[in-house]
Amino acid sequence: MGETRELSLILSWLGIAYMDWHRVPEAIPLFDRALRIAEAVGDDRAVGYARVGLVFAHHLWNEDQPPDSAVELALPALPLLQRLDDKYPLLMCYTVLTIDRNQFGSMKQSLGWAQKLVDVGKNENYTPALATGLSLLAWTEVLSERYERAIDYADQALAQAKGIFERVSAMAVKASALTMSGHAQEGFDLLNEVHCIGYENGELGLMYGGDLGLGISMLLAGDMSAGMGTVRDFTERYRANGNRRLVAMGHFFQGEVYRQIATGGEKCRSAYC
Amino acid sequence: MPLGLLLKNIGFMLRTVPFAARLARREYEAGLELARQAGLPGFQAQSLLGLSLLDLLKGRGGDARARLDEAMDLAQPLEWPLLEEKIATAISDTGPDDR
Repeated sequence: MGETRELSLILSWLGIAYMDWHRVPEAIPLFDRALRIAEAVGDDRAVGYARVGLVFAHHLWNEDQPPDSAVELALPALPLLQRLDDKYPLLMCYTVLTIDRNQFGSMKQSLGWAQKLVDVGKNENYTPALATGLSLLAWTEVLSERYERAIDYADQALAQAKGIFERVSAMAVKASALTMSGHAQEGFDLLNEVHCIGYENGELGLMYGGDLGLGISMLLAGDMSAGMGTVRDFTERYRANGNRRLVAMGHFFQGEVYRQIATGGEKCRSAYC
Repeated sequence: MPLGLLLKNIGFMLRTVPFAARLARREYEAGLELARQAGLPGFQAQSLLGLSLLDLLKGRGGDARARLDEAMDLAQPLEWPLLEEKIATAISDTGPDDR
């Protein structure tokens, strides 16, 4: 094939597939090679895919990275991504920035990036960006305990969602909002559906990413042992996958559950519960 | 709790209840350390809040207050009103600062 833009794009798409299978360390050299080829042939779209692939990989595999490495890769890539006709790399980049700021704890910045994604969806008539942006807005509302608004955004996202990924992302956030607003069984049923769709479509990210919510909904529905086991599995899976941010989250939620048991069910006081 | 759920949970509760506070502390501390390494001030503040509530449970108001002050310092620049509000509520539960 030679070192062509097509080869660069194929390498990036292969890297994205590896990330979907939770095999990030194998994805990184593919993105590196894709970027080298794309820059050599001077193809902006191929450069965009390779760069955003690296952004996503550093976001997911962060155990040996400086804390802001994904953001530091993402921000300089934005001008090029905004110029491309193909908006998918921009969607990926805004998604990482939204989740990164959300995990950091900066809800205002997180909302700002999610809103940019919604704007791309509206201005470019690109429904994947619109649906994903609405789901990300919903997540930030869940973390601010504004569950009705979260459910409203999630329903808007579901109405726009055409692809599986957009649909299950919206379902997952709606389920979490339902769970946290006292409808644990409804939330559990919806998250279980997300898990099944992820399994049927070989989307490990969809299957496993929702497991923290699934565990919490089981706990809140009263199935303590299975719920705690699911949260523990989530924590250990992401430890094996080099994502110390999600491991920190898993430990934190286990702490919340044990503390509530210790206090005889006193209302959770974390900003997540 | 319905009987079915009670039966399902009884083993877990018997194994967990006597050690729940210790287990909670262990998990919060593990989460706090990782959140520090990963540069996640929101989770650091949340974990400190959890640990301070365990301190209050043991009647260690001074320790709780020190953790909550650190949590508030981390939370304030984040512009996350809900988190600040929860830390402030916990601070008010520690009583007057007599350090």
